[in-house]
Amino acid sequence: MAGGWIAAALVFAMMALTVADVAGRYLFNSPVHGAFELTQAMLALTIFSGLPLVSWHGGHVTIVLTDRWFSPALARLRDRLLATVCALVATIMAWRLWLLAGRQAEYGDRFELIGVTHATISYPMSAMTGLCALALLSRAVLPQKR
Amino acid sequence: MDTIIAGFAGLFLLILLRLPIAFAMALVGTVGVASVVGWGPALALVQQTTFDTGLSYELSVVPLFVLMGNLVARAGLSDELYAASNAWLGHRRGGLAMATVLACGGFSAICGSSLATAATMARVAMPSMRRYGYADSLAAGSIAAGGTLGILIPPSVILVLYGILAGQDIGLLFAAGLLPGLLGIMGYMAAVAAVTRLRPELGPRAQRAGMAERWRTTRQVWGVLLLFVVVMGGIYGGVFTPTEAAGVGAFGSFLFALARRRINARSLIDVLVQAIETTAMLFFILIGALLFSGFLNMAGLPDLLAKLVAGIAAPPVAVLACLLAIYLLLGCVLESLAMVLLTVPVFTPIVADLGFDLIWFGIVVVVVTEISLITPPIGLNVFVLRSVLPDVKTGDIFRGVVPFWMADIVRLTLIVAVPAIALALPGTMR
Repeated sequence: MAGGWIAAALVFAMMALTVADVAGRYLFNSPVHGAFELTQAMLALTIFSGLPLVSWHGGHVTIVLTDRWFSPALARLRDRLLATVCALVATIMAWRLWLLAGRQAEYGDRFELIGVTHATISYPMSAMTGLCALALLSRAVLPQKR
Repeated sequence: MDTIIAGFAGLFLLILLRLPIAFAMALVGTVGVASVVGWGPALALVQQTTFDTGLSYELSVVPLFVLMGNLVARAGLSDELYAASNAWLGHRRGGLAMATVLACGGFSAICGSSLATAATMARVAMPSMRRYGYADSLAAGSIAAGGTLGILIPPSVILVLYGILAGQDIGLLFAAGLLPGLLGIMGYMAAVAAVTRLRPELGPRAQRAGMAERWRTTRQVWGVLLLFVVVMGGIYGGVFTPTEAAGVGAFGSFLFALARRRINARSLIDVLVQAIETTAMLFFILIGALLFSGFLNMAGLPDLLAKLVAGIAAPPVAVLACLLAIYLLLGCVLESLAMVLLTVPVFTPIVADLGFDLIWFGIVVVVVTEISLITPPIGLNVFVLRSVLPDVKTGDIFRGVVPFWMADIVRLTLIVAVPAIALALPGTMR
């Protein structure tokens, strides 16, 4: 899956960055310029690229206490309803992040050292959250294996 | 007051209906904030919290430590830990179970998650305990309990989250977890000794390994030791920030996996994606928890609790005892992560007001969380074992866990009575 490759590359790059920064500082006396901000930006992108994946795989933590109250048919209906609620929450987050990104772009907020604008990060964050909403919605409407 | 009660009631209802915890907290938190200050500010809080959490530098330790644990398991270091522990302890009564506990402790030193520790060690330790005729209850109990050490012995994902919520230094928290973790290993070993003394048939002796064999297997765990010394020593000595230590540790375990030819391009991608999915899930829960605690703060819960505590004028120790009782009760019904994220923002102001140290309280919280991981009916570690070992009965595991649970209560009492157990090491850093 393409999303998986991007996420994997990002987290690997994050690891490489911290190692390069530490090695640069202690061995060559020249730390990576703006490593702190680079880490922040990569972290945000990494996490949010993982969000659609974990939602698609149904990997969010739930508490299983009341399952015996539900018949299989009722449980299927409940799961679809819950996925719809989750999709709704994710949609609201995606929408609000989009508005935030728009405002950041307008004001030109940016990382001081690396010069990247905040909107460069928050637009993809919003898009990924939107994808997460779609993944959740697909769990609500597509037939599910149990 | 009514809003707060309605908020908690709504949250528990949604969680009981199996809405994922992250979404339940985000939803109730947002609606709650809206009911106090209106929808405009509430939605503004949603976007700011989501953005800020995604960009918080301190949290970059989480994916890196998760990655380090996954890579170490992939490199097969867990098998060597168990082989070495076995060579030293296996010939004793219950020795394989003691070795399991010890190996769990060793694995915890490079893995920050209890579930991962339990799942990894179940695969490694269960077959040999079965081969020597160990009762399923003792075998599975020792893995479930030993696995809980994952979140206490640094690195620890829960301690990172606690540090963020309570505004405490993560390096100090890690240092504080070390001695209580060693105490945990000793306590669990004592529990195994006590059980097999009463009922020797549960854990028969294996054959004694010769000294040559012992040293040979011990020499093989140098990889784990090296990683631990570099990562934790680096944080303790102030060489690295926790994030840098996590990056270096993950890179080191990547090199180990590579040197042992345990990893190729495809499995590397698998491990990376798995680490990201785990982290994304954790972050989303954290965002939900921050929104929910934002609601509790705006609705005035901290004030209310402070007045309540001041009103009953109980001695601090009594208040603390109440909080711990609440934790043990919540541990029966809540998943551990949710329990920590829900309670820490509410309880830490009270605890700080009473004059307790918040680093020490973090360790106390983690120990009660460990207990919750093996307490029925929602002991998450027990369920992990069930999924790795489908032929072991849940009832057997819970029965096997009882002696370890008692050892945990003793340990909790000790740490509460003697805070120095947690605070001695970080004290040398401050």
